[in-house]
Amino acid sequence: MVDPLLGPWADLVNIGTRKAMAGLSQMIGSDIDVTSLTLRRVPVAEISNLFGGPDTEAVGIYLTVSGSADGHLMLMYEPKIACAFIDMLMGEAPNTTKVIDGMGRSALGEMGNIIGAFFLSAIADATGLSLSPSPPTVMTDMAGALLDVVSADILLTADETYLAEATFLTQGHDISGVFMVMPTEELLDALLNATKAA
Amino acid sequence: MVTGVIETTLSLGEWAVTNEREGVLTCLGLGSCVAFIAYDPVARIGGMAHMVLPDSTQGRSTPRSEAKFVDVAVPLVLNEMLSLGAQKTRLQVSLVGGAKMLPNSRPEAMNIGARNIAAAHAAIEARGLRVRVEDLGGTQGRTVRLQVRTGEVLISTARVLRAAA
Repeated sequence: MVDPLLGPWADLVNIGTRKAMAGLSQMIGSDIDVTSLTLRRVPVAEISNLFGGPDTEAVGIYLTVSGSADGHLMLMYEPKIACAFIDMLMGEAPNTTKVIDGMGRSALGEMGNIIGAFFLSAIADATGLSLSPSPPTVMTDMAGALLDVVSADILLTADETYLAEATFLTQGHDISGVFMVMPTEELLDALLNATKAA
Repeated sequence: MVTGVIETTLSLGEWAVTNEREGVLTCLGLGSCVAFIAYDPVARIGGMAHMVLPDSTQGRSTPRSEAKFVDVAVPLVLNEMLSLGAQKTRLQVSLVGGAKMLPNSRPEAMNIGARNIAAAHAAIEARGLRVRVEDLGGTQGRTVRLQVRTGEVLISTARVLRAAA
């Protein structure tokens, strides 16, 4: 059976992710190349396996979305990727950051701000919807515990969600990371309706 | 339901009951979710559910995550334990989890962890049971294991986050 949401959502994620990475490039003053971008529908219960399992430590950057539809976005990274991001954002040499302290959290929060604003702005432009991100919350804990923040809303009515994964490379820092977006059903419905109307 | 495995790890909305002496029932990385744990020390029967949401009337049940709602999960576990020979008067009940993972960014009404805790307490009290061990609330994720041979409930939290070497 063809998933009616996959096509429109894939197009929007593609636009949004590339804009978000362009925004991040501006922030750090260095090119970020999106080398792959995939979208798939996955059981919510299996997402934490991408990070080594539900009790493996991970870093989450969480933003709520408000406006034409309410929802939330979660960016999640393995700790070593988050530390590489902090090095990049702070202009430090690779492998400088070993522990995520207050300054590191602040840098990751600012990255969440940029990614959220550019991602949602691109989607809003494409659909005509009004979508605004909240200030980000940066969390470090077990991957399963972090995912509970979004899983509960999704599991209210479904077992699966769309998981967008982008792999990207930055010059000089040579990091390869995954940018995950997990929208809520309400947000997906609003986007699908908007793309139908367009 | 999963039975007869040495370590059974329960994902979101899963439940299990076992009388395997060397069995261990586990919930990994609980955030706002709550683990319901019951144990009969005489029959050595253990049960656990990984509960995600408080109330099935507010959502939709699905076969893959049958026990995601507290009001559904608690009777599922208890009924299966009783059918295997556990006695209600001997049951030792524990609750673990229910953290508030976003301490400052959401209104209290949206605190799923607190709502899960309240629903779990209500479901347990409605069946005339008392909680023996509880480790609830806070802002940290938890992992919990029940050892069926001893009835011991082991709880751990994430260590200080450090970059991988």
